[in-house]
Amino acid sequence: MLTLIIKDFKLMFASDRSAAKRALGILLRILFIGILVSVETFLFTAILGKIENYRGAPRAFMVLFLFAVTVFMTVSCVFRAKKIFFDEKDIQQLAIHPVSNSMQVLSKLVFLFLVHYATSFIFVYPLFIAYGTMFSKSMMFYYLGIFYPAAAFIFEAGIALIFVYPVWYLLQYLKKHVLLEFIISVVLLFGMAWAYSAILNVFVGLIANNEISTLFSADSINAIVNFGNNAIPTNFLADIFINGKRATVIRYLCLSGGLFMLGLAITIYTFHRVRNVAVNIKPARGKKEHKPTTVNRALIKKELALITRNPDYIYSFSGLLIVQPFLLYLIVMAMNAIFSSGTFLYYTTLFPNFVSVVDVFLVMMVTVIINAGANQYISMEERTIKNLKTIPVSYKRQLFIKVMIPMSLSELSLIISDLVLLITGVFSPLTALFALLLSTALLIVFDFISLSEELKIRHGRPRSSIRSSLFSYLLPIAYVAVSIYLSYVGFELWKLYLAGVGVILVLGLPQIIIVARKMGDWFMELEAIN
Amino acid sequence: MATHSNYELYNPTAKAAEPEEKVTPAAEREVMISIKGLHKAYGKKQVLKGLDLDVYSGELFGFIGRNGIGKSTTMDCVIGSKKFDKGKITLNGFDVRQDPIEAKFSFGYVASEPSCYEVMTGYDYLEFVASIYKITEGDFVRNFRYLCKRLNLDERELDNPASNYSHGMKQKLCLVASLLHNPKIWILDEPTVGLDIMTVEELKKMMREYANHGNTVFVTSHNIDLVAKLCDRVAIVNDGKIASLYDLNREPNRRIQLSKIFMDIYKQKE
Repeated sequence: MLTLIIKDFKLMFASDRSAAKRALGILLRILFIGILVSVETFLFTAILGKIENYRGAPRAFMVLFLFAVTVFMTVSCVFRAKKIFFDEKDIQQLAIHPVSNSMQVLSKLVFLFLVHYATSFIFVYPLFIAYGTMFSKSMMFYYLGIFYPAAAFIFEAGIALIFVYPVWYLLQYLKKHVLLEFIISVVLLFGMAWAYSAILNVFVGLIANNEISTLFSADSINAIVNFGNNAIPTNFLADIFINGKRATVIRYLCLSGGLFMLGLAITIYTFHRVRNVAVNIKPARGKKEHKPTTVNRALIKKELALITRNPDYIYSFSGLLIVQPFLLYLIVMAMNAIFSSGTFLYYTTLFPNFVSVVDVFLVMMVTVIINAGANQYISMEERTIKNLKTIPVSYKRQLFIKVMIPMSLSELSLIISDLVLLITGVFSPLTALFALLLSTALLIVFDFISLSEELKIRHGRPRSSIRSSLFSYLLPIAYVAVSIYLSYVGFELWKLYLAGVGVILVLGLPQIIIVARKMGDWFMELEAIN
Repeated sequence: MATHSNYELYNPTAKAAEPEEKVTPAAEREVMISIKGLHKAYGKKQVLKGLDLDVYSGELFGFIGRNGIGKSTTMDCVIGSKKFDKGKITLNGFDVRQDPIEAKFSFGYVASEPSCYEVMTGYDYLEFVASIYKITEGDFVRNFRYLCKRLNLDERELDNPASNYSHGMKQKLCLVASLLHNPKIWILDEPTVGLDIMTVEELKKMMREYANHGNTVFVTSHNIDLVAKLCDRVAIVNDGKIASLYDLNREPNRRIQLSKIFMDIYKQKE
């Protein structure tokens, strides 16, 4: 049992990176979670401080926050359960080992519980501490809080187990219907961008007005109180853990236990079905004429297929490219709102043109960050690196097309974003022009450095992205630093932008020259994996 | 100077000649693969130490050796996927360093592990290969239909993404792709891995026929029996050079003894 659980841990968290990189990754993850929990606790405490006198409001806000955690934990549980129950390699491995089916399912459930409990505890317990401190709760409240994630697990895992197979099947189906997958991913990304804009607006309101209570009218608080009374299952759990109503335990256990048993039954059945019967999802068929085309077209089609037909790149690149104009508009608008009100107004008078410089900086950053999702020119070839070296096409032509495809797509999205910002009046024509020029220059430098990193991949190790990451952040930061100084000494806006172009050329051009000179050798030294 | 041309795919209706029927003196045949003084090191480890080899048109050549002896390194240098330190390799008269593109037009290559683009459908992949080798539409349709039939690759399956194929099907797809442009040299690295027995038999027949039609077939395999039964000549690599080279048509007894010869060469080294 323990061996199986350890195996699942490795399956979920193991990586082939070096110990130092793993340690750095863990550190960054802890830092990220720490920041997230701090923001959550800060917001919760700030809100509680403002609404503590409203009748029923503190409990309602506690339920609201706990409900948000439940939604997050349920969704993450679906994907975690998908990974441990329906991982193809794991199924193949377990099939040949003398481990009973019940032991396999049980070990996976224990693993699911352990990870779920640990994650949920990190987000939930700080809320209990904040709530308990604010309302001077007894020790029993804090003690019971330890069991909250375990109790919530029954419901959250129940829902997750009901949906895990349909989600797995849907993802398998979408893998074979790329266009549909692309449309769904774009809709999802737009949804996330909209949610992001809503959250951003709240923060902008908080920072610009420096007053949290203006966000909550009597109506909105009443709505939240109503929500708190009806948000299943968190309202039951709140009754048990906050209000100490023991009678609710039975109701909650009946509801969540029933869902858990139903989810478990569905998962056990489907787990065995996937193990024993190959689930065959037929791809979409269409009459298509097959005929050879030109070499360039064939190479372009291949690159597009590698980028758009691989699910890994749909969310990180193709989908984001489509939402880039919308996303950039939201970010730039929000930043401008922050800088044109409150205490920031003072700094912007000290550094004229600061806002325009930062706006262009944001366009540059978003452009390269999205482009980074598709500049794995060699890594995405995987086993076909040998094909690159054996086909009768010069390496220059192949690499040129490899770099140009994602770069052109990024450039197109950048032009559209820039136009949107210009037409909506967020950017002046001058800022729009230089946002385009500076971002394009940064994109070219970034892609060349990424190409050199890709061509230096050896022994199947992951690419070292240190240089491209440094350049993608350092160049825009250097531009902002130089521009702010020049702005302080009174330079005009167009001169600040020109200085930015100068910074990128001086720091980036040598990199491009080095890569252009050495790429032939690096290409030949590429390891042909077989 | 040799050229690559749009010559016809070998005649499917022609009867495959038996190896013994075709014993043409080496001097009368064209050198299709020429390796002179090939040196290659990985760091301080010298893997190839001046390997020399000529392979002729119309011959099925076996290139064998134990694991890690430099067989794959030689193969990779020949197909242009690895740089070499010293020496010269020509394919169909084209220097792989000076005229890499012309040299690459001259051969079709099949790796031991299938190396097709799995995000593409079988058709898309074949279409890609045909475009890269500048094959006309007519030749493309005729060649892939013929080859699919020979290798028993169901054309309806070609509409599916290659990621859905079994290992054997992917290898069949790669075999079809390697012959689409009807190359003068067919290079196969462990081609039978993962193929069913019927396909292996068909592939053996195809290799024989391909050589009998004046082309060169260069094959590596750990299956000594396959090499012994099929090949016209065989080279055994040891210590970075060709340790032994036999014309199995002139010395038929070597076919029977090949396994023993192979073992003896490596025993001497130990």
